Amino acid sequence: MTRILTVEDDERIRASVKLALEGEGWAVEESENGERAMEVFNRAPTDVVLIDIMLPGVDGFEVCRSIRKVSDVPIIMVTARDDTHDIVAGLEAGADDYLTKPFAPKELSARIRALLRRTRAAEPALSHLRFGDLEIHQDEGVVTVSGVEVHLTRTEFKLLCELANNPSRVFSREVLLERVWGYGYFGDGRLVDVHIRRLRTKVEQDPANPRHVVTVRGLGYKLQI
Amino acid sequence: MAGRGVTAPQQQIGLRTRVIASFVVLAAVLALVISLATYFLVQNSVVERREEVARNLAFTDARLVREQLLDVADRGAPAGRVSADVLQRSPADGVVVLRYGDIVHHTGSSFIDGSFNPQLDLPTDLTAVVADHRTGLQRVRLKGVPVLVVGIPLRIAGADAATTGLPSAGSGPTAWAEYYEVTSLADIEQSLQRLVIVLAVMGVSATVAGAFTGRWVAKRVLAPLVEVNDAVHALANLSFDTKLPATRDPDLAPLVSTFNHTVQALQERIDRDGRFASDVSHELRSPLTTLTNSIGVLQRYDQELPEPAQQAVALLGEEFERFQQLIGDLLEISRFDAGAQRLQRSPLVIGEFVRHAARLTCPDAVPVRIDADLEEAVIMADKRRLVQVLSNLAVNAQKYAGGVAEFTVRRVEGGLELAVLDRGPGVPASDRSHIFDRFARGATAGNRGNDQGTGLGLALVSEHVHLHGGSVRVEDRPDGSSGACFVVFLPANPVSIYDTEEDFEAAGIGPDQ
Repeated sequence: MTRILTVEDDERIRASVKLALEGEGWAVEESENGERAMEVFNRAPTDVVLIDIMLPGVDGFEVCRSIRKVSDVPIIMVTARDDTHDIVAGLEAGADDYLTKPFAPKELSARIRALLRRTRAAEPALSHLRFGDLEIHQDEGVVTVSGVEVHLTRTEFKLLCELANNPSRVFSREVLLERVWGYGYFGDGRLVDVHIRRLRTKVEQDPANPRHVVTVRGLGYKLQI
Repeated sequence: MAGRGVTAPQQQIGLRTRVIASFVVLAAVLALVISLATYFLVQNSVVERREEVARNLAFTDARLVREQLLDVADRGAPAGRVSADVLQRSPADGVVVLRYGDIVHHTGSSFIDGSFNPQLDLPTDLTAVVADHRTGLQRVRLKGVPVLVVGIPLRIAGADAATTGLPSAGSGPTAWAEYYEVTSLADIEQSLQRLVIVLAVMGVSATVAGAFTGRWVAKRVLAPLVEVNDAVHALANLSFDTKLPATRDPDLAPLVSTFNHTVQALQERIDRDGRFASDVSHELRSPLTTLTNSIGVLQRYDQELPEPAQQAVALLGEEFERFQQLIGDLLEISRFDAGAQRLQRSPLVIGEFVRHAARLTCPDAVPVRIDADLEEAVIMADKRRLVQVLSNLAVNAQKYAGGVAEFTVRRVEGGLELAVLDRGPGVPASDRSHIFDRFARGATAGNRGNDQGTGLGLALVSEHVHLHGGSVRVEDRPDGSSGACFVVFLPANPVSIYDTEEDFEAAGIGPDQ
């Protein structure tokens, strides 16, 4: 059974979200603060984590970073402000996606479903791809740079595979949003930008002058052969 | 000052102009007084000196002439010859006229042309004085030449009127002659004319110098005013880091202090409002999240509820959606009021974007007409805001105007125009200016019966478009059909996706902005 951990200090929101998610047939674990969240997370395997940024004590960014250190479980940040800074900071902390309050239960379950699909996605493509010093073993979920394995989150891995399966093809941010995050055309392009940036820090020798994941002005990104 | 926002009422003269004018008038009056004084002083002293010299010379000459007259008269020579001879020998260099009874003789001169006629041209005032046996002196203009005429009566004592033919004064034995000496004043007049020119040039220079001084002074005096004006102008653009530099000038210090305090108070006020909007937003979001999730759960178990409860849940759902929309719009617009809105530009392929937006906002397929060269052109714009612009215009058309008839995109000077054409009755000219006001509702939208709008949709359209530096207007449909045409102008420099990297760079287009 799919287990979802929701970290939220507002009891009423927590209760209503729990009801809505349980309606989808998922098991919901709760935590009202950051400290307890790590305990609950370590106690049992979790499939998706929902973290509110504004938490008393340890904040959502910190919880996100702590979880990221030990797991690449999909994380959705929940923010009460559509403040660019908060959103980008949440994504930089390792979140895969974000939601702004007030979110509709349908939206939340759609996001969770998209993340769950991603984890199980097996590409019917070439399993082993090589681009200079970058090697991708798709079926094993392993990426090496100059023979050294680098650790990617599932979202980063999915993003890299999307680009790698059609090398030299330019992907607009909208297409990537649709393919990696399951959003339609009007999703937030910052999701793509932040993940591309994080991906570069892991697979590029010099992230400021990327040789693999390159920007195509005005159009989007592509993987250079 | 023009362009900085200061405009004086047309009838009133500006402070700067008044200061300059004062200096000009002062300089001109001073120059005039000094020039006049100089001119008259110089004229008097030169002319007086010349008169004195001329008088002395004339007296000397007259004495000589008289002696010779007496001399020849004694010898009984004829008067006509006598006077001519005498004049020939006169040492005077000007024109000399001798009237001796009926006989008038004169010498010629270089400065008066040959038509000189002593009988007519000598000033009558002077001849009258001399005829009265008195010495006279007069400045006149003879044939256009300025001259000084000295007239001296000569008493020919002992001459016998009968023999000499000299006129006798009255019945007495004494005969009189009249001696005039004419001296040119042309050189003096020329000098004075030169002086006038010099003085005039100096006067004009002084006036111009006065104008420049006035301008400089005005600039110095008005400098703080200009600074204040610039600061206020910056403030009007909501730039709150504007501060006037501290001054020790006791006349300006209160203004500076008041201004800086006002700026600070305004900034605090706006910050407070902005924080309030943000706090309200945050506080509202939590209960809204609970509500929307709970309503979602209710709707999910809808079928298990009794019929009246189902209806209530449906109403609750609809009304909550509208309420949420209204809250969203209010929060969005309050952020505009707090000046907290920032554009988040990213590259958009125009054709793709508008077609997606049309599909998203309209349930039925609506034609989208895009200029061929814009179909695959890229602009930098805030996608979220532009989606809201097109979606609000489409929603407006669906609610009040029978739906969207067509979306068009065309290139215009300086950018592009996105238009949403509807099937309604059109917007009357009187409503066009305020249809974008908050909570403004047109005649057809006045009925709230099944009105689902928030009253903020078009106001938000206008705000989003203005944030992009563009403008929005409503007009009749260009194809002549009934209906309104909402036109959004966006300043942009569209670049074709097939253009070079340099073209993209020049247009400021890049994915990471």
